[in-house]
Amino acid sequence: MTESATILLVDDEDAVQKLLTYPLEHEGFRVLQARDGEEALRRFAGEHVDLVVLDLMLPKVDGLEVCRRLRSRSSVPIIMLTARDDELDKVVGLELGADDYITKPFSIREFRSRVRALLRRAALGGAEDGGQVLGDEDVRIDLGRRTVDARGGRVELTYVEFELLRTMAAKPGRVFNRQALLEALWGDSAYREPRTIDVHVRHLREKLERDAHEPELILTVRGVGYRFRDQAARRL
Amino acid sequence: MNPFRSVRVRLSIALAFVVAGALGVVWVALVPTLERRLEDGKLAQLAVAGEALRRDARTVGVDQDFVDDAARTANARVVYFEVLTGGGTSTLLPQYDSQHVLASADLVHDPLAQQASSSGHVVRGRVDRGGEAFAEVAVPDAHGNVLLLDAPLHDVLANVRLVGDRVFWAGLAALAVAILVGFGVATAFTRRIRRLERAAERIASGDFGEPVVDRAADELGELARAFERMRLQLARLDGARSAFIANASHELRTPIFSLGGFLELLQDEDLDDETREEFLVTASEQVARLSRLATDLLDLSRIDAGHVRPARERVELGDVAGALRGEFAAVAQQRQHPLDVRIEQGGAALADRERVLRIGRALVDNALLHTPPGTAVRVVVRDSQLAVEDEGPGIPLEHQEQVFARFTRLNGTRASGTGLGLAIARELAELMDGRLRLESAPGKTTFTLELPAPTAEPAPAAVA
Repeated sequence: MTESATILLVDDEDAVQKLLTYPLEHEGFRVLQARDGEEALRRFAGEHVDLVVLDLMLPKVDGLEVCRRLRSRSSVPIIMLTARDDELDKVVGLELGADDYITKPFSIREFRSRVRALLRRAALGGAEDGGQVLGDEDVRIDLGRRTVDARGGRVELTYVEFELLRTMAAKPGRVFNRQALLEALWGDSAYREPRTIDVHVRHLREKLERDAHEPELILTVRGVGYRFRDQAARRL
Repeated sequence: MNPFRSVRVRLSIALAFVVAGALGVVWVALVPTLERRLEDGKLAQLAVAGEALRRDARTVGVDQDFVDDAARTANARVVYFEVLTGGGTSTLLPQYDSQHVLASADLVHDPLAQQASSSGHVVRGRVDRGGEAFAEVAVPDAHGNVLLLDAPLHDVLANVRLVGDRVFWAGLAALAVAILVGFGVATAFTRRIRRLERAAERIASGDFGEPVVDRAADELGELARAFERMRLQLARLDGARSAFIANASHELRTPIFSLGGFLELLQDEDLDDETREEFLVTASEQVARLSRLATDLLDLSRIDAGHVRPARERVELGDVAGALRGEFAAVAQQRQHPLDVRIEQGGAALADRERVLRIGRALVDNALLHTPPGTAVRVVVRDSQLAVEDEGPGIPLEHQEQVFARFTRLNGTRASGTGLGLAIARELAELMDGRLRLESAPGKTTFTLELPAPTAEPAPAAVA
């Protein structure tokens, strides 16, 4: 499945397009190119896309806005490219639903490995845990269908949010530190910012919790990390 | 800080000096005058009485009763001196004294009486005797005998002293008030000055966030408003500078990033010849872009620093247009743009040929880059103007001013230039007292460089 994946590459620089297209096509992916935000949204609407590589600075509709609009209609994995090594931009990008980001300049090797990792996780998501269901009375996580129901209603999660929830819900009560969560998500934690986990957790809480400020499902373990609530333990 | 150097203390001291000085002047001017006036009044009074006594003395003669009566009437001591002659000398001696003082010892040598006796005129004046002051009027008769009216001045002097004391204490109080008020007012001013000082320190340390406020309509208020204008201007410049650096670094990073990437691919991958060639071409394009950017950044910084001083000489714009066509012929052909030169009229300007060429290059380059292949581009010379026209899709009105801003690339146009060409062109045009205008509509876009005409020299047409 990975071999036939279609990747939408959005960047306004010809040179960057050429540079990033080659390694992706070399891997056997199909690459769709878009040079501005409008074109990106148009191409995404027109074709099936498995992953989006999105530059932050784009003409017409900027990268953050494109990300927001893509996210409002799809949970496609998104990697943001940013030329500005700016903490704020990264966090904002993630808040708008990007699954990962890479700051220019990056090596082609790293780019390739990130694309592969994200595609592999997305592809494996359904396959390996077919039919299995996690969760408790309030939250139902269907690993086969990759759907989440919270308190009777269907909740749309991004790829990373789903993976994060699945990792924690698989072992209720166990504490995961940020490093462990990064590794569970990406296989490694190199180049990655532990703080991004906090952003994703906040999004999860906003989607799942009754009150995101008084979380009941995903609990903070101060100074360590997070855990999914353990109802069995509580009943004892 | 030395407390005596503070504005507050200095102002207070200055005010105290002014008040003390004013009081000193009042004292010096008032007290002696007052004393003299009162003394003169007393003397005039005695003189009038003395004149009356002289008449009486002539008719009734002088004896002890006379002087006693006279003393009561004149409200003064009255002494009658007679000239006694003996042994060849004459001596003036007191004969009758309304105070019955024996031999009137204190008045024996009264200078005024002596003077009146010898001169025959009425003499008046002040005499100090036994530590006290007296007003005296000496009235002589035809024989040199003298009626002396003598009144103590201590009442008068007491009055003067009283006034003097009043003035002194009032002055002291005024001085205290002046120092307090001066200190208070100076404190208020100092506080405002300190606020301004803190604001200036803030601005100096690069914090432009907080406004400088002093609403008063006085000079300090004016100063604060001038500070505020300075703050806004600096904040604007600082913002522009940060934006410029951010833009420049972004513009530098993109080609460097892609160069690094291509080098990595060229190194690591097993590329076929065609791909390798393609990557090398793209990489050298990126190098060209970087070097263009470096040139443009250097030019801009030289313009900003005021180091660019264009020459003012006669420039034949037809030559410039021809040179442009020569330079761009190959590029235009490669991008399939017909490139023409049209010289409508004469065409010379007072300018710097190299700079005019630089502007022309930016304009032609811009037209070739931002219009679709096949679009005609024309360099037109008319009077002292050099225009570059194209038949491209045009620039929307709302972006027409923006194209001259630094690092502006209009949305949708493929990133290719440095985004600095038109900004530099406009700066150079203005340095040569010219101007760069843009008129654009779909199908026709014209950038016109207007330059000063060479008025000093006769135009070639006129010579012919």
